[in-house]
Amino acid sequence: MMASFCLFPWLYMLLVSLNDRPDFLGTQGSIGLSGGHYLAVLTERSLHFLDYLRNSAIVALSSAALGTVIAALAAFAVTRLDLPGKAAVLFFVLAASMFPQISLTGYLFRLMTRLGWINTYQGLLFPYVAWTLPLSLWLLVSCFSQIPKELDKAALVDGCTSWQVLWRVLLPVARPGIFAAFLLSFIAAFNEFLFALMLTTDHGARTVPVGIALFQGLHGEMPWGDIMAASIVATAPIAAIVALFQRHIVAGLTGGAVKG
Amino acid sequence: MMVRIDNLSKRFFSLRGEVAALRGLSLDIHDKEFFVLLGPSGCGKSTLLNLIAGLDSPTGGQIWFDDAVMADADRGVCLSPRKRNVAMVFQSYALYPHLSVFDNIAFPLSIAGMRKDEIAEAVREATDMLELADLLAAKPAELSGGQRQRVAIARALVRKPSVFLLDEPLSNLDAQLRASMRTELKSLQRRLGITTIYVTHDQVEAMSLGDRVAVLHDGRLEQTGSPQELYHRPANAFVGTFIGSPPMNLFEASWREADGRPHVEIMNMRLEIPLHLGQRLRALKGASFLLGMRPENIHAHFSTSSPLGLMATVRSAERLGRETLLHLARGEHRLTALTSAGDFTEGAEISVEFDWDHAHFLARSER
Repeated sequence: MMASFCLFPWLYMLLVSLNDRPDFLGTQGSIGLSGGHYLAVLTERSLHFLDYLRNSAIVALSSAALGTVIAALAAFAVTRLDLPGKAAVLFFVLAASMFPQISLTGYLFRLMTRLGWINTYQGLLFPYVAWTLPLSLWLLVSCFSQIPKELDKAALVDGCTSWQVLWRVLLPVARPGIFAAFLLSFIAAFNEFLFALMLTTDHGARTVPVGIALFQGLHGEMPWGDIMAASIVATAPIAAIVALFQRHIVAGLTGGAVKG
Repeated sequence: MMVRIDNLSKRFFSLRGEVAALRGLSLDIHDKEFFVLLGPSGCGKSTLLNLIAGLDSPTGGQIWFDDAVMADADRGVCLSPRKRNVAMVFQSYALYPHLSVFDNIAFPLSIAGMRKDEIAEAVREATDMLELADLLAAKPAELSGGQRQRVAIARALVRKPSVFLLDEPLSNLDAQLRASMRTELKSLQRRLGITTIYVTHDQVEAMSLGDRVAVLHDGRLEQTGSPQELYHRPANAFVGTFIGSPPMNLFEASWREADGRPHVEIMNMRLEIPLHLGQRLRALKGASFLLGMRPENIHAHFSTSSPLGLMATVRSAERLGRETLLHLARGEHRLTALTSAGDFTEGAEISVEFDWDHAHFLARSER
């Protein structure tokens, strides 16, 4: 029941994308199946859909990777090293993540203009890393703090340096959590709209969500078939990833996977 | 490897303020010795083990392995664990959950950068010794508690450490397994001849394993000696009551000489004691001391009078199988006696007799 309710829009999306006369969206005329929209989306150069997809993939993957690395190092520092005020750092990060996105847009736009980073990958990469970091950091801190300290001690006695403790013991043991953090920040960055809308100007760096939204503007009319076909192509990988790794994400989020 | 601990102290700074875990402790642990650190929880025994391992640095004093200084608080020296060649087994086993049994045991060797074939050879030797050869591919999660502990021991022994440290390694095992692991551990240590320091709060474990045992209390050393010495000649009331089960009876006592014979006054009663004990009482200086009597050295009789005895009421009788532990009362005083004889019913008036040859005259604690 719940599932069908949730999946209905997606089914409708699928239906429209496969229809050969999607503009009617309704009862008139016949419903004929065709892959035309997919073909158009994937091949027509002027739509730039493949550019958007590539941009999205690059930006989301690299920001998720960079963010997860930073979060893992920070989580190690917070849970394992003797730092003054580490609780304060965590709460500051949490507070920063509460900032509404819209309140940043003006400053971010000016900053990126000044740096000349408008419509570049790095112009999206760094805001995305900053934006996804609080979630990954909190996730990994809880994950790391569940790894018993005796494991670190054992590794130290076995001859590890602090770096080796992190690299050879903590990171492998925390893998489900790290994987979950990576996936969640990847999905967040892949879906992000506002920053991408503001910081990109054309297919050089524009990401899929913005690209699809602007299909209409490019052509003056609503190419529903293309929009839906593009949405399917863009969401399918995410949905597949989530379906495939759901177990890992849940395990990483609940942290029950770590036991000595 | 000889381990020398010289006036070692450790303070922690926590939210509660400064806590002293060790207060100027000195110990000499001999080469190839099985040395046990025994004490109640919070006595500083695990802290001491961490300091020896190099997981923590002392705030005062020194640690020596033979002629090499491992830590010296005054000179700011503290070698990291990797430079000390110690191995440690933890209560929770602390196996690496992502590695197989083989990789767990090989871990310290691969960190040390040993060649693959040498590692395989060393791991095989260690697993043969601990009968783990069938489990090499298993992950720690698939093993039973006893098997995990064997893997942890194999991991510790595989690189032939100069000092072998164990932190309550058997506490998580069930009683039967604990007893068999105890024997095995002892014979393993004998065979390998590695200086071993073993931390436990269990006096039975300490007595059965240790060549020598050090009793720690509140960050201080109470007594060091062989299990026999600790049992038969406790240095003070703490060691007396901590070692031995059921625990020793302690009586507030004073003594005097009357008619040239020594007398002891306990529980508002004056008892004459054998002449030769007078020497030991004189050595105590001061008339007031603690008299320690183990329950097995207090004999209970049905007879209503005995020349050297005193009367007591049976409060309860605890049947332990071979023996019965009697909880006795005399006025507001309480004592326990172990007896193998007959049925003592609750409320019965009986006479008890002290075996003075096993009496412990203990000086009052200075603190």
